[in-house]
Amino acid sequence: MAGDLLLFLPEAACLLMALALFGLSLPRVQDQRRVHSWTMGLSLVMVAAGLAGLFQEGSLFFEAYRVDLFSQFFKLLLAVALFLVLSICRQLTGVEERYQPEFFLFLTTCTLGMMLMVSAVELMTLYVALELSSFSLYILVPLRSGDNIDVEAGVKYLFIGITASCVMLFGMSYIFGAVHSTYLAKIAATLPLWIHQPGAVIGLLLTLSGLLFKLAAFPFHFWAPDVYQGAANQVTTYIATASKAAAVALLIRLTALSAGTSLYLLDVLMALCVASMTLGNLAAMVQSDLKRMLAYSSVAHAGYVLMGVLTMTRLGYSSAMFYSLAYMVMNFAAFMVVVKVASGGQDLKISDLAGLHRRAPLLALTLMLALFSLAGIPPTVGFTGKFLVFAAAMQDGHFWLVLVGMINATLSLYYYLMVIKAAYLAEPAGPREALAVSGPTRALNYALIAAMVYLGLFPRQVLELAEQAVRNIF
Amino acid sequence: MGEALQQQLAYVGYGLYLLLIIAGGLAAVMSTSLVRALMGLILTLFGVAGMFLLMNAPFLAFMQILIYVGAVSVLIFFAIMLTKTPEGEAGAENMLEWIGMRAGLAVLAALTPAIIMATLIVKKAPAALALKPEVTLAQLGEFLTGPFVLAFELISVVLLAAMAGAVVLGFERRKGK
Repeated sequence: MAGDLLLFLPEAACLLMALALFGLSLPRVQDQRRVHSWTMGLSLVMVAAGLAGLFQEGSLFFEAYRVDLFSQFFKLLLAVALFLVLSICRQLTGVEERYQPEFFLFLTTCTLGMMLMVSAVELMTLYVALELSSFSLYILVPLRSGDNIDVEAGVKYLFIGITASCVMLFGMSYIFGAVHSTYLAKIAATLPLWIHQPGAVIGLLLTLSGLLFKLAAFPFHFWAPDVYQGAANQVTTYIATASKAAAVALLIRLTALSAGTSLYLLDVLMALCVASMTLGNLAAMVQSDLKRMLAYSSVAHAGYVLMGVLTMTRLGYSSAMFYSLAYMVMNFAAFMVVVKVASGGQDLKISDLAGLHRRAPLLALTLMLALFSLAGIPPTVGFTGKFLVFAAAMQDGHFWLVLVGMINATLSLYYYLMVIKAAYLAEPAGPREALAVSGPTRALNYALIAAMVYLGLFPRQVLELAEQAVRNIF
Repeated sequence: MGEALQQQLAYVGYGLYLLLIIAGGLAAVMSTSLVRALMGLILTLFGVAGMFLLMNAPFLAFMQILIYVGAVSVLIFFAIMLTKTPEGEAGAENMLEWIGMRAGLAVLAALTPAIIMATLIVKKAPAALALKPEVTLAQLGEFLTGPFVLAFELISVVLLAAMAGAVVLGFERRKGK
């Protein structure tokens, strides 16, 4: 029993944190500072729980829930992502003050859903966990105070999300019809026999589309620009970091079911990969709103991750895992700068960054490194991530795919450099006062810079962990 | 009744329910009036209940009619009535009374057939073909507390998030007006 509890430790910590936040949301008058400190403390406990649970292994809930290095890797990633996002919520300017505890509550329930999602090895459990995280995000997006852009974003997100869920459920029904089980282990054992039937491929593809929605891959990317722009900056940060990592985890788990035996599946994933990369990069070039640009760039990055996933080899999967970690770090760094520069919680135009290197040299430096990393320039983590993904695809014989990826990486350099140009070379139109950067923010900046460079130069430890984790599922 | 005849009747039933589902779905999507769209949805839900009966799951059919046709539809009716002022109605001066009366009638209109049909289904469950063994209540319970226990328990967390979110968003919007 105690051992079982240890297996469930990160999730239990997350659930307790959600309950504590629910309690904190009840009083009529709230001390904003105190709520935030409590939340930070609880989230630190969660990270600790994630670390403690990293090397646990076992099954829970009648084999519907599998705890192994693969799931624990992503759970730790999610706990860290939540901690990081909460750390930039000290001044929650985009959201009304009295909804602050609820805001944290929904972030926590969303993380809980994703944590359960990466461990679920039974389709119904997986679906309910996915819905838990989606519901929380549906609520978080329109929570932004002020103009009505959030309502439009919220409604769009809700409708596209529900449609994706329906499509996913429909796909699951096909799989269940073919295999007569909702357990992934049983499906993996039986599905290769069925994989040449159209029904099985359709089922698997439709099921995957629910995750492609989360990942904002083509053709499920329509929500991304509006939601990124319309949601409060902190929520966008969360969607752009944690939610992507969870989606990658599930994509890996579900594509591993087919064991790489289906050529149709491979063709479709390849087409989606190319379309996501190209469309995302081309659309990002013409954006003037920084968050919209980052949204389209996330569509492109979904394509890069897919390249690792579609190889369906151990190398490909571990490189995709590394890429999702890299993406989380560098994207968080970029969004952190957005949140700090937009101190009033407003949307940020790229031109608003003018003169940032004088107003806040440290933030400008972090932004530059983050964007270089997103573009894939050494010695940053983004370069290593791309290199690993491309190498895995190359080894699997997808030369053309890698070529398209390379061209796309070059294309993306253009719009990332435009932002750096705005931050470093452009002079602001009027006099702009210096941005105050507090001590903790400073420390966060240094930590992020260090992480981006260190992981870029020495990826071995994390990569080995990822390789070890992939062995559990494939 | 002979086996062959039963088989044929099952096909007829299947076609009938399928027709109900598709026609209801089309009505729900194509209609411009919210109330008519909801009627289409109800038709579809009836069809789905019929499918459950065909699959020898009378309990699910019962739940489908009682909860979806009965409760959920009435809830949606309420939502439509409370958010939209009725148009083109004479004597709208006494709104509250109108709404109250209509709400009462709506509940009556939706719940009465639902209850009658649901009891009929449970009392006189038609003898189904031996396609699949009947999923009994006990089996259903065992499934929900066995293999699907995590999903079952998780739904409570989903509901917590959904309800808290509804409260927060509802208050926010009302204040904005």
